[in-house]
Amino acid sequence: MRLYLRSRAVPGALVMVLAAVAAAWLLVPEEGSPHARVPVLMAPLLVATAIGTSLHTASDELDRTAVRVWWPLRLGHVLVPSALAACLFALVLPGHPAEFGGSAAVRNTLGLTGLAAGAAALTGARTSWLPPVTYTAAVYLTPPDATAAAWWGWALRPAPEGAAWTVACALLCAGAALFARRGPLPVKG
Amino acid sequence: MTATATEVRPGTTAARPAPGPLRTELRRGLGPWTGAAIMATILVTMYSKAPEWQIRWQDAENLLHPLAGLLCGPLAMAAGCLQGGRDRRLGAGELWASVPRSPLRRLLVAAAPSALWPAAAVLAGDAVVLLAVWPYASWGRPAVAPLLADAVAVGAMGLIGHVVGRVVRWRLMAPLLAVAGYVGFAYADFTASSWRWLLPSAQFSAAEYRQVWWYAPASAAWTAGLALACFLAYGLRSSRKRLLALVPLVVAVCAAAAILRLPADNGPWRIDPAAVRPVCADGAPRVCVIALDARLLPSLVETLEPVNERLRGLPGAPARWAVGRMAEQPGDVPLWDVGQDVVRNRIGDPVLYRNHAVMQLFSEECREGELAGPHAERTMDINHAVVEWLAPSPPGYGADVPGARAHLDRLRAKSPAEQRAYLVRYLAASSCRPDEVPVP
Repeated sequence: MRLYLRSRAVPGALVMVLAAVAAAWLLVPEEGSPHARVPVLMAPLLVATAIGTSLHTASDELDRTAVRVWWPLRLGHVLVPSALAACLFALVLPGHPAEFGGSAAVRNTLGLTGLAAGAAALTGARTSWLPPVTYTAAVYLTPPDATAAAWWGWALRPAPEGAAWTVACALLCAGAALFARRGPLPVKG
Repeated sequence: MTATATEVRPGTTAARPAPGPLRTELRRGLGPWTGAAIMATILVTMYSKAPEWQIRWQDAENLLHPLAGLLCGPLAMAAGCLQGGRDRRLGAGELWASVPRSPLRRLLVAAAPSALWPAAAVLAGDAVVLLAVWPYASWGRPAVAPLLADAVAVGAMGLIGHVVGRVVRWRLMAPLLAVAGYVGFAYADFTASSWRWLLPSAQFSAAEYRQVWWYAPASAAWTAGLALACFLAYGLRSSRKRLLALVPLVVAVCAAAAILRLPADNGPWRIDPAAVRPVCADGAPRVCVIALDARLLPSLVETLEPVNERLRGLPGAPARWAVGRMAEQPGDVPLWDVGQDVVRNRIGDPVLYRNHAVMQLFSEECREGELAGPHAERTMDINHAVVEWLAPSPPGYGADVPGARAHLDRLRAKSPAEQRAYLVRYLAASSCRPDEVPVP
């Protein structure tokens, strides 16, 4: 287990997760500020990129020769840091709970991490940050209107919206399952 | 002396020469994917906001600029960072060292996809967006220089990212650059100082303004100079010519100094007198728009015609509806910028637009102490009734004012001649003096 964690640079990724939570805690803007959504969106994004890039392994071919079952380790690798970050966000982020408080950060952590895990399985862990970063930036610059928003603009929706939670949880389930089954796509360079 | 000739058998072709390394670098690896991601970012984002910009060249460009700086720039920087670390990850250092080319030239070939693909993708995305505006734009032509400056800025950020990727060995560096770039630009754009005009993402959203001619070249010199200075400082770090890196740095600093002299509020933007020239349709009251929106005139005339029909020839009726930012004349009803209400040269909700226009017709700024007294509430009810009679609000809009219902019913019950007579008396009164306002 220790070898697995070290080979994936998981300790470094956990430090990054803690740093993202600390940054969100320290940089919480005042209520009503135009930057109110920034920590709720960007800190989970940092967490997702840290977890996503930690899914890379330099010894993929060697790992695949092992007889052990990999999927529990891979699943734990995605879910445990996500759960840790989600708990910390729920504890430290105040804000208006109905708008962009801690629960929205929890939802975004789950959804964006799922997106990164899915990307790691499909395009490789080194570039797994690309879909969450592109998605977050696009959705932040062009906030969708209320009619079409909950589905593709889930990361910007107020916390109590069920449809946004559904999308985020579906992304986490799909991404984690895909990664647990296939592992990171081996990419050279 | 004997010579051997290589015969090419009939039916076979001679082996093609190997493509140059630059061509290979540009065609393989992360470059094309970065270009595709940047172009997709531009097109998807612009598509989701199409009603806001598919009307004027300036509106489209005012959105493309922050999009390039805020989204595509950090993305290019992160992709460049990933590309920059590629040779180290592949362990290709010795192979590169065996190539009989200078380190700077090798770096140039390796970094070309990081700069060229993002810049090309921005230009391609811009071209698609401008083509989508073309059928609907009323006036002027697209300003090419700011778009080129955007492409240069995005390419420069890709180049800086590449150098960072070469220097820093950390797998989180690329996404961190993307997130930090994005958050940093977004925060900095809210500052109210001249510094923000140095950012490739500085936003400005008034279509009647155009940039001073020198801002785009200066902006390009600033971003490209900075990136080239980083690039040369790294590429020539072990060469005697490393001081050459100071040349682009000096150019960048000079360009930045010129940009910093711009005013903090409007920066390089100046109002364009030709764009705000009024263009009017015949009729009474006349409907006038600024030249920028000339193609909207028929649609606006059609929208306001039911109101004009009732106002035509009445003493006290307005002389013209002045739509957009134009010099005000006596008898004008100034209406706001029509851009938000138009979808592809048609008024999105004509009933709502007409209702707002009539509310604007009867809006009067009262001084302190006016609009008071026993009849003040009645006056507001009458005002609401007259607006609803002239241009009813669409279902779901407008407040339900119970006191206005009786006035509205009486107005509707009058004969056309009585309605006109009442409207003349209403137009002659000032709603700031409640005692003067006639009851229908």
